[in-house]
Amino acid sequence: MLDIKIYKKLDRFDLDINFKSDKKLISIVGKSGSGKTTLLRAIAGFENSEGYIKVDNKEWQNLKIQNRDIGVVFQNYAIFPNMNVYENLKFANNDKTKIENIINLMELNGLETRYPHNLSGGEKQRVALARAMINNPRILLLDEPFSALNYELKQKLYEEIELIKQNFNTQIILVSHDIGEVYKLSDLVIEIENGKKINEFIPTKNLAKLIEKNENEVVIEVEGKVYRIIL
Amino acid sequence: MDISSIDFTPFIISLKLSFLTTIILFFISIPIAYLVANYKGKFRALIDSFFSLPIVLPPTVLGYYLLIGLSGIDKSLVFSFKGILIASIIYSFPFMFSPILSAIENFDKSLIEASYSLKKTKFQTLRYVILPNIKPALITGSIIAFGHTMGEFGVVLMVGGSIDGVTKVASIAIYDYTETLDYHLANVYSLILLIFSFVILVITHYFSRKYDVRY
Repeated sequence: MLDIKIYKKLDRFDLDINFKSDKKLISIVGKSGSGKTTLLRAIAGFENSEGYIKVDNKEWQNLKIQNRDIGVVFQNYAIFPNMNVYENLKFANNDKTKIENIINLMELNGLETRYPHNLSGGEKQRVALARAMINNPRILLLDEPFSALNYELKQKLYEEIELIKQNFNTQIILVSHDIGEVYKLSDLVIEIENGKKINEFIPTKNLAKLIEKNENEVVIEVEGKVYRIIL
Repeated sequence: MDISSIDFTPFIISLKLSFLTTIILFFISIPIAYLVANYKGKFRALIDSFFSLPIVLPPTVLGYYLLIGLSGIDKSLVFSFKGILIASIIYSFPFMFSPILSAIENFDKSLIEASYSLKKTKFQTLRYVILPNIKPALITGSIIAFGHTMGEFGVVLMVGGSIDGVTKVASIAIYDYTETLDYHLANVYSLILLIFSFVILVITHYFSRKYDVRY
């Protein structure tokens, strides 16, 4: 169970968010500059904040980053350029079996000796996910994972995130500026604006009214709000 | 002129001095640059100015204070190789320190955070993530510090004088030969230092380009 209350003074507004959930995938959704990435960074410990971060009743707020049981996938993937794919995974965990297992799970076979500058966007994404998951973290933090991806890569990432949901006990917190991108993946959506929570709902359990449907997307209305969902 | 008649001892002293200065500076500059890069306090301008002081300070001023300082600590340090080594380390410090500081400060923060999130300590992150990825800065700093020490004159003269086989480095030998109107030897020595400096710059640019392409 995650029980989070984060307060942080920002330039334009104060970030003041709380939520409690045991849902497997929680999406934090908001416009650019709404404070969602700061919230994610505060949970990771990359930024100081006030409040509490209780994970299974254990207080994380005063823990160093290294002692928080997290995996992080950065927007730019942050794969170490001086290490090949295998070395990136080995840096995260020395256990040969675990490396092989994650290579198989994330379909990285054949890429082991490649360096990041020789990987495609989709391959980098899988390496970043594999590296973040190799230690089976309690929480996986994904910062705008869909923002720079084309349609095919988005579809692939949906599959990979589903794969992680099925194979690990990890709770995922995902940050996105587009609710349409995360709607079908999410078990809980928290919408934020100017640092405050403005809406919280469970996507699948809310009645959605279909407004429009085409090959790649549907437009629905949930609780009076219109959302564009990428299929 | 018969090349065997040229005394290369000043060059050997210069090379030894430059080599030792570079090695010592390499290991001193990395931790200091790392600490300064991560310092967020209000004394940053003061710290930066202090570490860059040898760039703007006239070598004679630095040499004078080092002469007074070193003789106050241990009189055997002045007019000795140890003394000019300490002086060179202080004088060439900014040339090693600045590229490393700049590289650490501009280093992609997400790579550092990724390393921390994988439970790596600050030391492990510096050793395995930051340093291997700032190789061009490490190489550039080392080569420039080496080249700068090779051409050092004022500070060495103030602290070490011009003792044959001990503190007489190549640049001081050129000065001595010019003073004694031996322009031929001064010319040969100067030419060697000129070629050496040029080669140092070529190597610096070669490595910078090579690593820029790779990363």
